[in-house]
Amino acid sequence: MKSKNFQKEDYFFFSILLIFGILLFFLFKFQIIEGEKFKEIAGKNYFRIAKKTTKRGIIYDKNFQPLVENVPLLAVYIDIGKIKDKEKLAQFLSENLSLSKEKIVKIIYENRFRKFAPILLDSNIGLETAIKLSEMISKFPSILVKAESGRNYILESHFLGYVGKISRKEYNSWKDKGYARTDYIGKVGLEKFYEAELKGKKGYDVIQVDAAGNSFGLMKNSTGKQSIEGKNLVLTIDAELQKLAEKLLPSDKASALVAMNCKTGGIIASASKPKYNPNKFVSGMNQKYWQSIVENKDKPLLDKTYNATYPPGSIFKLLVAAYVLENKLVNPDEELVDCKGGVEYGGRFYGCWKKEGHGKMNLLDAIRESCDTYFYKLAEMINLDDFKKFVDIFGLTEKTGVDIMNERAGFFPTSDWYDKNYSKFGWTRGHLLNLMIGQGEVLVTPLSMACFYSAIANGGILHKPHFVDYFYVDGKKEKIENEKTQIPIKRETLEFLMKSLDAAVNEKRRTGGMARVTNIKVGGKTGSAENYKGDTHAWFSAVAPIDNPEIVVIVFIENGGSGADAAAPLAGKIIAHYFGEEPILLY
Amino acid sequence: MRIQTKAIENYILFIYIFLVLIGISILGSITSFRFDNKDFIKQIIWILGSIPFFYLFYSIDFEKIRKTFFYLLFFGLLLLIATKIPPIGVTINNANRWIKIGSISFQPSTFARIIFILYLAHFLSKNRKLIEKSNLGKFPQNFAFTTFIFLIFAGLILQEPDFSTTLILFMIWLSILFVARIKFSTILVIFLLVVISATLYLEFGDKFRKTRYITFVKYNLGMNLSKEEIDKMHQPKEGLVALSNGRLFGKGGKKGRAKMFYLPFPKTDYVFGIVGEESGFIGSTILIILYFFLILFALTLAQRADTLFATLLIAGFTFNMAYNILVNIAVVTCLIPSTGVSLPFISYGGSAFLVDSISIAVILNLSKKSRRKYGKNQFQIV
Repeated sequence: MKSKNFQKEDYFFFSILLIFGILLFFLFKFQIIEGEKFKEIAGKNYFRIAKKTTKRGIIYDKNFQPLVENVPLLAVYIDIGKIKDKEKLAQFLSENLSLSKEKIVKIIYENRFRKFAPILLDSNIGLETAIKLSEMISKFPSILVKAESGRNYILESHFLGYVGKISRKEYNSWKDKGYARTDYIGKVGLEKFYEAELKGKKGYDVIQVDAAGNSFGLMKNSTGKQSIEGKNLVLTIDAELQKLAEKLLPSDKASALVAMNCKTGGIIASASKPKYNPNKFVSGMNQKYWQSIVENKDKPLLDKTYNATYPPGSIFKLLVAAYVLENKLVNPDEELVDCKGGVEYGGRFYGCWKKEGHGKMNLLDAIRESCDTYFYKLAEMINLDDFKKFVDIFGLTEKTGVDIMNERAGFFPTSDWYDKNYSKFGWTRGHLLNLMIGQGEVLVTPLSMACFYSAIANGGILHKPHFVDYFYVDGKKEKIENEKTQIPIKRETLEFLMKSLDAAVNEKRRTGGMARVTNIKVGGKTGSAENYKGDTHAWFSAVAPIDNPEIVVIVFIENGGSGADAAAPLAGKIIAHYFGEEPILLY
Repeated sequence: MRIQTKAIENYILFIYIFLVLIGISILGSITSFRFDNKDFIKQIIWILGSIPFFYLFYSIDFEKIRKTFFYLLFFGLLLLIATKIPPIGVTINNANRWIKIGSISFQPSTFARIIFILYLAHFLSKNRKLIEKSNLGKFPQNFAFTTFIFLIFAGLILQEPDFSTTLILFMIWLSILFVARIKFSTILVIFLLVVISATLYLEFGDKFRKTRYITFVKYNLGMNLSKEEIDKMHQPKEGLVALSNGRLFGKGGKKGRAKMFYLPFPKTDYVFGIVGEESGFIGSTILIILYFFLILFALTLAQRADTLFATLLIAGFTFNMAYNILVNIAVVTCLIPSTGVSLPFISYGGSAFLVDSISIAVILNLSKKSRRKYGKNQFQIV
């Protein structure tokens, strides 16, 4: 029976019908009528920024020999979101990678929420493994093999450093500069110092993707950006000389060799032993290799040329000589002491290295024969704190500012320092006696010594030492200005010091004869720094040619014995190679 | 058109079971592209676990327990207040809507709504004479207590904050008053009062909510949006994109893209978007028609019930579900701003499913009672 008027309940029916009708209408509108429009919006929304790769700058030596090259590294990732059977996947991967099944299952579990970004399993699998994995990708769609840009160090020297996968901490501080989580970044050495220049800038493409994330190709009217390649570095390093230096230094001792162009401050060779293989840091190393590096007491990771400090021994005497000459404390021709193998001071005996004594000595004799007794005598005339200021002028107590990270500064004490650290007696002149011959508390890096000897050789100019000569971009040089400071020192003083270096290598009763080279006159100073650990540290500083110096060489060998025997021949060989001559190798 | 009451009850049961099955298959599709199916198994356990509750509420005699409804009010109050007390009350996205006891968490407002319906039905059917005196002048004094209860419940839910649930509670209240034949003019005035206060609340309340509503209106009017505003419209837009990608026939189960982290809340608030994408216009229309008949049949049962108490209870429970359905679908079709309301029987979520299942059980229970009492129905179905 139909009633003529709507009952109250009828309103309900019609209002419900109306509401659902509205919903259906809008469904129809969105799904059928405007489906195409939204498809377009969907397309606009679902684009991806695909980062283009960029080329990391190459590092060349001064003769344009590449010291490092970019190589593809095949890395394997897993896409957590696409895993179907994690047990089977882990089984398959463990058979092909050097990871255990349990470890892979654990990695998958730990990253189970990171479904967007693929998880790195191994950053360097061989080509064969990569092919094997790629063949099985249809069965295990979660496996991803990507070629990444790694580095191969042709020259395995410390100063180059190495690159590695960006760490979380590094990512956080570099991400604004366009770094991705999978990027490689310079970890130490030049790779780190020049990271910003070497890296280049990644461009990008705007890519349209469909629902499944497959690319349609480039987005219409998209504004992609071209990549900018990293700057190439051209160093002042001579690769051949560098290799020779590394060959000459003993492998079983911590040792360092710096060769520097004293006219510019450019470092020609910078070797440190023992070495490590930087390529292992890029492509991954096994536990055993890492252990061998960490457990080596000579610390292969440490670059001894600038990152370690040692007592300089007798090569420091030149600085003392410069000070007394500058301040006219002695007459260089005066035979100040009659060396009888040492001197007694404050109830203690301070021995000369030559126990039978040198006899009567003036300043030149004392440098030539490295007579300690003469320099002990100088301690009576010297004010420690004033002398410290002189040491500061030559920059030996601060970093040289070389273009590399983690440089260490040298150290020279003041009387206050002694009062503070030797509480019982504080500062006594006895300490100064030791300092005069480069022993005791004074500490230097081989690099800072190279700068000091360069300054003596080039007329008192203290250069900021540097590895990089210029940037090389698109066939064009980009010059780098390096600081230099003129040290206030008299010409006569420098001339005397050069004369003494000459004498120490070339005259009778010399100590550095082993550094001599055919046709080129070498000057130099030996050093044998005593230390509680055992044999003396062998030092040699060389300058050549003596009448118009071009190259300064510092050799340091920890517990290497005497500077004359262990260090001087190395300097000679380096200089000989540099000038295309032969070392003489005679006392 | 005339259908036996018994048949209607059966239809409701069939629709209910059918919806549950749809819900399971959709959840299965959503969780299919990941290897962990924890959520899926959890939901199945909830569904199985709700069967005894369904039976309990299907057999219980409400006439006997209606006196306890008054005391349930305090329980509801307690639940709502507990959201503010850690560690029971949990803060998610700056809102205290959840209670967590052990591994089970639920929104107290879900239960508060049920309790409010129970008490309101009890009160109105007990005081039938008051209904006669419900004109505008007399309503405040005659219905002071229930209005007070509503204001307290609504106030507590509003400051969780949960604006949409507050509005739903209000609509349930009005709908029950309407079914109870409170004077229409009174209902209209109450409605207008709430609309005005809601507008004022939006204007002077939370700034964030206000800008969200303004952005929504601007978006629907096709105005240009700033970058922040586009971000705000991310959810609704993803919902529309998911719907429209379904077209007429849908992409087919498991093949949708929206669930792969494109669409936010694919298992709960935006589950209808998944339905639209994977089963197309046809599938979502079928779902809407199922809901339509569920509500229509349930209201018919309310109309045919023998007592006002049963009528109000059935109607109340039906409205409770209906508003969830309407709000959820309206959000996905971008008719109202985005809000967190689940789709009954389809959305993932154990406690909501339990409450909705119990609602069906209660409706069938009350209808069964009155049918047995009077034998064949004497009423005409609309």
